[in-house]
Amino acid sequence: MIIDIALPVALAWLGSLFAYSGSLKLIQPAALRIRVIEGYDVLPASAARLVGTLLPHVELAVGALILLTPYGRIGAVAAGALGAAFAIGASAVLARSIHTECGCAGVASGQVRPATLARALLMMFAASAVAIAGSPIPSLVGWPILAAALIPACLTLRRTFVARQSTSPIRSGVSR
Amino acid sequence: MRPFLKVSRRSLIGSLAGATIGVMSFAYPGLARVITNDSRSRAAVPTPAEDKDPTFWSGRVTAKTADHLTVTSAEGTRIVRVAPGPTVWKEFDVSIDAIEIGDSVMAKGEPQADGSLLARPGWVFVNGGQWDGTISALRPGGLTVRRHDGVDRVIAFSSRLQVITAAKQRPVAAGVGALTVGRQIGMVGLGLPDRSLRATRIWIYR
Repeated sequence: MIIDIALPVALAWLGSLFAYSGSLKLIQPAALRIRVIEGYDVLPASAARLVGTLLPHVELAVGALILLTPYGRIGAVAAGALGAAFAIGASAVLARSIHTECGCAGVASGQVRPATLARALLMMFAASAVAIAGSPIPSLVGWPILAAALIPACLTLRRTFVARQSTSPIRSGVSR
Repeated sequence: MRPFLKVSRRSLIGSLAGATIGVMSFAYPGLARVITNDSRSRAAVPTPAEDKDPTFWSGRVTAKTADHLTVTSAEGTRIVRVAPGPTVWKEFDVSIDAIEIGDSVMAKGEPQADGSLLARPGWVFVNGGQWDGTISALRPGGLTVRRHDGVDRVIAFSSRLQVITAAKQRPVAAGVGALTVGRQIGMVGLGLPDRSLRATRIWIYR
């Protein structure tokens, strides 16, 4: 009974988390994403550039795969692999006492903390459980979850737009 | 039947709300910041939080033009206007052209009516870093400094390096020659992508 509820909840969390995180990363400049990956100091510069460029797209794809398709278990496997990669990165940062942004939520990210590692481990655990015994989320439920997960990115985009508009020469009265 | 534990409705609701926010913040990192920032900027003009110094802003450069930077942090997004000419510190005195997307910026200046910050010339610091510790090794053109918690950082010497005493802030006659293993020092300089620091000022504690 508990499993029947826990597995779809875990799947919905994984899908929404990757959609949320991927969309917030995607709306920040690629150079900033690459800086964040470099801050972990676990990858060579060329690999950090590749990961920083591709990661938001991969996360969004995993989120969509989980929430919108009947291949939720495949998405869970991919989510587990990403969770393992995050766990390794966070462990490496914490073990060396490096203070760096986690990059989990784009510009709203905090520092890498033990909670970052705990979340990555929980992702791995949830993904493993879903991959072994899960069932796909009905698309009627998946679409609203995906839409809700994208709201924070829309709010951030709006705020950046407002900041730029409010300082445009016309609105601020600055003469040039 | 008497209740086992007396809890007021208000404190129960408060506890539940707190627990929900805690769980959501763990499940979706940064969510609280995204939402609270948006509610703060509903006045259409982005302003720093009330408890923050309005004359200061720091964060990452997310966009730039010829005369201003868009600087974003967990606190929000703010436009920082930069005066023309070499008014920016990035190891040397440089212009806004030397600032790149992703650079870390600290700026001090006058808040403008439109919510932006007009930076004072010389008060925009880019990728500035600080480190304190004991010299653990000497290297060609630099050294390694061990912090109190055992973390080492590679330090390179900037071409504009000053070596001074911490007590009187006076230049040390021997310059970098005074930097020997075991010395306790502090420094500021340019933080580099490989986590090393190019020191522009080193002070010797003893």
